[in-house]
Amino acid sequence: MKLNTLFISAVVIVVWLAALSGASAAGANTTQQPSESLEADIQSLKEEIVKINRDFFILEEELLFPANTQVVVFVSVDSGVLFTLDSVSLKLNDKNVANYLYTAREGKALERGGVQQLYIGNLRNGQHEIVAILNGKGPQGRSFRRGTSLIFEKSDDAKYIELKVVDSAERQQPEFTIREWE
Amino acid sequence: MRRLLAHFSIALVVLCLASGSSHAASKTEKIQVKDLYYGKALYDYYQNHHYDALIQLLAADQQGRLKQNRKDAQLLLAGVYLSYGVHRKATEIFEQLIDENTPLDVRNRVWFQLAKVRRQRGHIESAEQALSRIEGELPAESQNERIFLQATSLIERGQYDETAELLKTIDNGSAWYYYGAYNLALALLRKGNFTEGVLQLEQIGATEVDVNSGEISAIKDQANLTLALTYLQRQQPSSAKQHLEQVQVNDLLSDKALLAMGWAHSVLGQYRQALVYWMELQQRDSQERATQEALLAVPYALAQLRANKQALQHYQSAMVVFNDELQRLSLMIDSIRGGSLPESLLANDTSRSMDGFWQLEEIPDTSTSRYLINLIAQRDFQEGLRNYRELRFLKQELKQRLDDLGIYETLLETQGDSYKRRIPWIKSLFKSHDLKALKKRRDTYAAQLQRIKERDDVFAVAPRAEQKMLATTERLKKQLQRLSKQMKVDNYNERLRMVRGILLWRANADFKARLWQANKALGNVDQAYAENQARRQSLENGLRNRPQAFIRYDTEISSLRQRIEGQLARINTTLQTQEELLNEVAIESLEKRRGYLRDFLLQAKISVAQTYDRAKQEQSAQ
Repeated sequence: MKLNTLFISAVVIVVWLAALSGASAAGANTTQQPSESLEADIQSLKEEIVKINRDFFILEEELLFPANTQVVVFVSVDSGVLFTLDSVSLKLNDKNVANYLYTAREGKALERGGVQQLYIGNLRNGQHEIVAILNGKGPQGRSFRRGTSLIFEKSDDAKYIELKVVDSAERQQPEFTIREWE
Repeated sequence: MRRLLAHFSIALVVLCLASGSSHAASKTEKIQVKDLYYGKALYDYYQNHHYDALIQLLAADQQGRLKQNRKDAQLLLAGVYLSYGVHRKATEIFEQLIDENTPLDVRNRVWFQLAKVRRQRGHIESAEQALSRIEGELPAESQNERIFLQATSLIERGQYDETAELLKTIDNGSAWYYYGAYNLALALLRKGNFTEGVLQLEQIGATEVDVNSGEISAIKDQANLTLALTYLQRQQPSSAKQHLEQVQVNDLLSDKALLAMGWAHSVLGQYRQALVYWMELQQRDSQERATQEALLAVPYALAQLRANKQALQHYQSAMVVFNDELQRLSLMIDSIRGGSLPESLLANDTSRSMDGFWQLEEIPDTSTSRYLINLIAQRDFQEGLRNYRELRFLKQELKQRLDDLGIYETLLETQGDSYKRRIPWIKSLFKSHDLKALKKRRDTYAAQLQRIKERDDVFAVAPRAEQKMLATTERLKKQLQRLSKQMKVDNYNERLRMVRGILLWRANADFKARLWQANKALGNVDQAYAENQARRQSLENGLRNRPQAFIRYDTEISSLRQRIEGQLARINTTLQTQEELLNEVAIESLEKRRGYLRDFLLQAKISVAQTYDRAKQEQSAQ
């Protein structure tokens, strides 16, 4: 009988402890933590590797697209209410350099203020022409196709060009602009 | 105002990101993008490509491409760092950015978020410091959580009365109150304050709540179970039963509740009723601890009912189960020691991205993972696994970078050779195109035009035919002068004068237009000259700078190679340490399980002996 009583106590205590440890995890986190030095090491490693990747990214760009020949074309959407961007085609000096079909997620990212780098390439100094054709859904879901172009001068500095879709509240139509950035 | 709105928006995005909620971020105001490269980072970030966004932000900052949105970009950067567990760097950035000009609600949210992250990582003091920097109140649910965090600190310091008072300030119906009250009750019970602890638990246990209300309902069940166990420990089975009846049958806790209900009846001598609960439990998953305990409890009750034969059968079955389990556990421990638990858990992780919100959603269906399911579900284990996964990802990335560096070295070499081959050609081109001589000719032409304009030299810009005609009239004039001595030439002179007059009139009439054309041609020459000069300058710059650029790129590549190799060595060590830590935690958990299974087995063996003895005694008594 004595042994059985002991057994009851043992089992109850085991369950009791299990219940308590399970419960405290629900509210405040008290379980095992990695040692502080390991955590600090992981943090500093991540920081270092991120820096390496940053430097690598910059080197890659400088090597492949030096500033004196670099041309970058970006796409942005100002509101996205009157126009949903489906695709864009880009011609540089009458040569097709980019065709891009947007996923729903990419479209959303643009509508929320993201800017897509559509094209990066090299051009010699002088005058060039860029032509963009944008396809999408306009007001009332109508298919919309619009072209826009720009003649620009490429100098020794990198050239940034932005294709922008803007909702014109006045005309209730989307408008497409293309502009050079300094 | 627009700037403040933009910062506010991005701060919300950052906070949502840090708390792992991308949903809330979509409700924020659209951010004013004024720097293309900030927008580019946002484009990646909004698609959950957080690692790419991080690199974009750092590179753009280094290249001086963030100007007007620099503060927004820094806030986003801090948020992404936070989501990757680099909270030291995140804090550093937040502390630099958050000043008295930052809107109060943004400041408060940042400190609140930092407090939560620091507490999660066990940095209690710095978490409290962050909490103390919050001014005024936070939005409702965050305010409740803030009080819960403060209450947790008070509990840790043993200030129970203050905790109880503080918890009263949490809104009615908020789960944070129940979490706080439950933790307070546990602390009181652990300190031996039975009356106060039970009072707290009874208040939670008596809460009227919809069974489908989720968290609060779960805490209520937990409170009732804890109360029942406390009463059982104090030999008050009737009170225990009352609370166990409140626990929902389908709840996760029902195994423990069934076990405890059996013990409550058992303590009251109601073995048949106890058997109802324990036998129900016995049918459940044999890997669960409560079920394993039930395997011992059932024969115990049968023995109490003098069903010795059945009791012995059940004890024997239990021993078989325990032995099998112990064997399985030993194999699992050996397998973890000889391999890698994190690698086996990540076997199905095909995603190549380093998403800041990653967590192991599908646990591979292996015998080991089934035993470790509770451990794996714990936040710290998930955090450790995520760190391991990220380090593994970064290691792969660094290896890829090393390969890429090789490609760039070849590229540089090719560019260098091509450059060397072109030098003589470029130099000969410079020689053959003497820009100085061209400039001299241009200047002479310009001076000529100036003279023509000043002297109204109308024939100087006339077409060649007219100039020829003028020359012809000059020649004729001279011939007529010579002939005038021999014959009468008045008639011819008159006609010549008329022709010259017409020529002069025409040249005068067209002079301005012709001069303008000539100046235009000079302008074209100037433009062509300027273009030529710019191109030549560009080539000269190239010739001068290219060798330096080659050296610079070469140095950068070598330095990057060294840095990558250094970090790869570090990453290997850290990966191994992290792997060992995860393995160790898992083995510890399995050892714990093995420990109580050995106790159960021993208990079963003792009980078998006892039951035999009792059966013998009963037989001899008959």
